[in-house]
Amino acid sequence: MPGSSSRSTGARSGSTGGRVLSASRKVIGGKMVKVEVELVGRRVRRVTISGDFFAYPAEVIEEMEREMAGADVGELCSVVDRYRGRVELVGITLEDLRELLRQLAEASGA
Amino acid sequence: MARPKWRLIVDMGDGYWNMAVDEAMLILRDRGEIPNTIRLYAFRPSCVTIGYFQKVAESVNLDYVRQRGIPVVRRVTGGGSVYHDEHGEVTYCVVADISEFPGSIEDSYRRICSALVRAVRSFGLPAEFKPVNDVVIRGRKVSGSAQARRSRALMQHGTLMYDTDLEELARVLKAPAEKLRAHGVSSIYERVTTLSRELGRKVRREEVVGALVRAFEVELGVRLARGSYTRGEEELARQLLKKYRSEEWLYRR
Repeated sequence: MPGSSSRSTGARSGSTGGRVLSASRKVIGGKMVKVEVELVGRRVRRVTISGDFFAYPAEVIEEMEREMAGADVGELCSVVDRYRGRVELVGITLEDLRELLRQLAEASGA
Repeated sequence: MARPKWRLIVDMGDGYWNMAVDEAMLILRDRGEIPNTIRLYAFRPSCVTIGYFQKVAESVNLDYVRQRGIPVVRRVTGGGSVYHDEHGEVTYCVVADISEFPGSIEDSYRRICSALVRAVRSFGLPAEFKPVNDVVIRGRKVSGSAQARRSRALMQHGTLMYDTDLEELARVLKAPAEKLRAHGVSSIYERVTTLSRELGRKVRREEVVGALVRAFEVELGVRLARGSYTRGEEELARQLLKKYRSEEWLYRR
């Protein structure tokens, strides 16, 4: 599967006082995926993974988001790694998620 | 060898009911309580459905749909936002045992979408499957599909636009700039089409339903026999309605 055709990153203030960083990409021949990370310092308060991709089983994405909450922003890629073999993604890959999380960790200054 | 008989349901409903019925069928097929089924239906009134992982505000022009009173419903399936024009699209839903679709998830999308390709080609149009989940005519999307799975059953539903008001569709749906750029277009309007637009005549709903029935029979190697919902399906769909109508479900991401 080829990589991303385009990407964007952004930052804003979160509703609970943290700062929200976001990164998205459209996978060539695939789907859109956006990751938003709400941070207080380096600590992750909340992660939201959204887009028009498919995940089987779908609930695993929410499980991954819950597992990321409370982690250090630099550790999020290792959370994704723990899901190898547990989820089948269609339209994106776990590598796409890792890459977006890596960009966000970089943008956070971590 | 006789082709296996699958149930065919042709009906219509509002968006909440339609999504509740599709999920109810998936759950009950997974439990082995209903037969393999193909449902062909309309949304009345016109409605927007969004994918399981989408953010509402990024997929739909909320100000516009509120002003027009167009309902928005989150699906149990992934994929993107869809405008279901009451007078211009047929939605199909295939609910079946996973063993009917050996191979990868992508293979099952391709096989089910092959019926849509056949149906569109029966109108003399050069339809092609575009992985992962689209059917296009001369590069423009006429159909999109989305699939959910449980351990033993799959449910795939999707739209086939025969006379959708594409200007309204472009007002209702939002597409991320990255996605439009990737398709080399500047608006959703340029990226989609309908059977009527391609043929230069008004295609009727009955023609499309007939073409889909024949195409599913051939591509899936089954015989479709008209049937109706079981009491269990209607009860479960009524229970699921609460979820689909709730703000919590719609705004969950």
